[in-house]
Amino acid sequence: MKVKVFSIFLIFLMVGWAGAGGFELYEFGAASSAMSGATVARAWDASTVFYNPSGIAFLEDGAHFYGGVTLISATNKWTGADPIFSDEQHTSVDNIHHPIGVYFTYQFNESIYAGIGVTNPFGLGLEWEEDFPGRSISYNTDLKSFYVSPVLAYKIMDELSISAGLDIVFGEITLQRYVRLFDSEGSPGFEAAKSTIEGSSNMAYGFTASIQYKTDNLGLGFLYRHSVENKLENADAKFTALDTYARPVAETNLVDQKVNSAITFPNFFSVGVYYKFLENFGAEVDFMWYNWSVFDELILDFEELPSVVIPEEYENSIQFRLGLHYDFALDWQLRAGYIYDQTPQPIQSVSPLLPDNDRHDFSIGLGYTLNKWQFDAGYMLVDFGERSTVENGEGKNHDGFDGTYASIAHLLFISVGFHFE
Amino acid sequence: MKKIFIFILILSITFFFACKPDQPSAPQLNVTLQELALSKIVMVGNSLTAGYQSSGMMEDFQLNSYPYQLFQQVASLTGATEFEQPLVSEPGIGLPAGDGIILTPLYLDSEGNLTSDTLTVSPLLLLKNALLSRPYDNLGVPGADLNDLLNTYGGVPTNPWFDMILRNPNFGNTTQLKQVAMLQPTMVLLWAGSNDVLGAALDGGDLDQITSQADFQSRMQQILTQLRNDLGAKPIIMANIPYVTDIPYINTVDHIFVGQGNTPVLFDNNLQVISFPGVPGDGYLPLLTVESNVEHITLEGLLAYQQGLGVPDSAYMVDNLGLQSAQASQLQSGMILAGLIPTGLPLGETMTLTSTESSTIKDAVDGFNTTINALATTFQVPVVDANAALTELNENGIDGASGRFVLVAPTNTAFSLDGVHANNAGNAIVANEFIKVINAILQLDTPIPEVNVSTKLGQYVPGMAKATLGKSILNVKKIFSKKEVF
Repeated sequence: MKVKVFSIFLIFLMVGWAGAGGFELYEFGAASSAMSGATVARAWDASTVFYNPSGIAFLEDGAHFYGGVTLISATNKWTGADPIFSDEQHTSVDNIHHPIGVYFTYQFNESIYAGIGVTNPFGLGLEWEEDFPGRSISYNTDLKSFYVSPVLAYKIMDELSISAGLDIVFGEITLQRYVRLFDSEGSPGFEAAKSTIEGSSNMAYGFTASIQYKTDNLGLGFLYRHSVENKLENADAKFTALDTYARPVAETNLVDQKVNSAITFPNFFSVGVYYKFLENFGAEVDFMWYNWSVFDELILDFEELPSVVIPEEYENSIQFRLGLHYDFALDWQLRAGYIYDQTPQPIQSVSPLLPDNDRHDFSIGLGYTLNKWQFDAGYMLVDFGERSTVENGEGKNHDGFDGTYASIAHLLFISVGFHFE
Repeated sequence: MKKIFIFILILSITFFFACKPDQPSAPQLNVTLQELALSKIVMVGNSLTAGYQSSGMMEDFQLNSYPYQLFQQVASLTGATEFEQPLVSEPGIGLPAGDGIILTPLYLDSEGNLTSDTLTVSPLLLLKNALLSRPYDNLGVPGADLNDLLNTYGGVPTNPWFDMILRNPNFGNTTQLKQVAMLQPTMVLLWAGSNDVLGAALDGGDLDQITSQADFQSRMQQILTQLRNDLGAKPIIMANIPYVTDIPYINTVDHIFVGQGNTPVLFDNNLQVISFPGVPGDGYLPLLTVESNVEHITLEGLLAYQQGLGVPDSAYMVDNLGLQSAQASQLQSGMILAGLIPTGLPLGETMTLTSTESSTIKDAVDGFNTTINALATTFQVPVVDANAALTELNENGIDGASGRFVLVAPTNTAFSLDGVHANNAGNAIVANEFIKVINAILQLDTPIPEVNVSTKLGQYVPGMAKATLGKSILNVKKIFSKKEVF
């Protein structure tokens, strides 16, 4: 009569370990980011390796270096739904994240160009204090992706370039939560342990294909980035039993073990138009489409514990981006932008791990050119607004963890470029 | 120009960086705290809670336990679907009969006799829900007393139910109370303490089996302290202890106590007192007991009587009643004709309760209930007056159900065949008593509907659940083993 299989309320993992809405990051380069990443139709610096690698053929002749860092400070607030979580108000822990973007491009001849970029385009960090009532869903998540992207571009004619690129991808993940046992209808179960999952994904591969058209005043661009299937193999799941009645059960059943999972970063395309209205003023509008419906569920395959299937049920999503630049003085550039970012996350999946919402992002930045050097800095406000999992008095979260989230993120970009002639 | 731009930029960025989202206002769910209290109800106690009937456990009984009936009534409001019990398949698990033999629960055979069979399979094979990966929602363990609720997690040689229900060590050697907490219920119903006095009554007034008032008080206080620590302010509702002498096991033949001395006299197989011709007065002959001042004869005593104990023989009558031997022989023949077996041997002291024993037991119950009421106030626990309900059942009946034994009231008794535990109808009455209290404290817009007791009348017959009996039962043929009636 040994009861070995305990149903475990494991809402682990890498919800949206990628992606727009979800948690795509925009900070591939300070200049582009200050224009809200609306740069698929026009290349400004070597960060175009990421935005649209065809653009490397339109950079000034020679080789280019561009690199920088983004400092991200996000604050999430949560207020619990009455009457289940009366008087529960919580704020996430202040952590600064600092993804990088480093690029190098090289010109072989009039037609053939190469480039490479190292970026962290997808990531998430969200930590709550441990008294947070949603701690059994997640109290600390830290995800990083690393993209190494070699690209080749071919200038078909003076105004038209095409490119192909490879994405070599791996990720790192840390997830911490409390584990509940013995959940049943009407009860979330009994907190019995804390768990930490830490691991790195296998190397995964994707590709990009893009095209860009450029005249002095007009730019057109299109980028397709293929999906990447990331496999997390042999990640470490560690458990610490809490001092409760269920301690022996936790110690017996929640033993440290390996866990496997997989998640597909969605494929997406980006299409945009740039137009230079004045000699010192131009604007770009981009449209993006993400195939987020690939993120339907997340399967956690534990070595010993029963597998856990978490429904995510993401929907495809779109973005609009607007970028502006104004060269207000010799060698000085002012940039600004706006993004409307539709969330792919359905209401039932809005959770402490990743409370997403439709976002409005506002960016501004400054650039300064000094001979072969380029210095860029910028700022973006990411406003998630408020999103409640309660609709018309009904709790929608699939774990019954209902409340209203509010989030704001501040991003500060700094990059430096150098032009080797 | 440049400098102004840079200055404004830096200033605004600094300003924005400090900006945090406002704390959202709390969204309102379309549910009240009172309604939430119904989302996960867990019951804890002894056999009365477990759904034990007729000296055993069986699915048909358990699906009529008051916890399950109450759950069904709540579910009719909330749409809940999940209530897990340690279900036992037919033919059920009854009492041990020595030498490793286990009996089925009692049932009525085709001739209307109380019967039980020998179980031919391992009881473990009958457990339908043993692999449930969490504690049961019905945590009534037959035989559990207050000390057990606090301390016992299994391994009791004389009581397999702790192992079968608590299933340790799989649940970390946790007691009933700890398993309650591990379920994180929104409401707990507690009905415990009758086993701290019941054994004294079933064993014919063995007063040593009564837990002392001090121990009862301290254990009940520990139980409520632990529940409050684990559950916080969530509703706990507790039932008090019925007079354990007011049950068919004890009072079925109370009517054969007659005359000025209120002494027991001989009665026939229809439980009617016999008036023997030629005997002075009403013609009654004394039923022999070891104890004097006897007030009750237990069902075990009834069984023994049917096998001859307590029935005077001619020698006894000559020696003790001063009869002539010819008359004594004639009376003995009359007894045999009436279906009695004259032996001249008295009923033992474990089969009878004296008036002192009865009143001591009642006093103990009164003391326990006083303690329950006092602690209930301290711990803010409403009390279901189960004792008053039993009195009402015995005096006036409740919703057509009677407190008399199946031998006397075959069609409407609220007791099962063991004379101690409620049958389906009795459990319906208990469920309704709890429902009344829950409705009173929660003040729901739509109160929990009560069970229609009349639909639950009748006794279980194998292969014929909820059969209504048409004929009276003449013999108690099978053994009631008092020590193992939980």
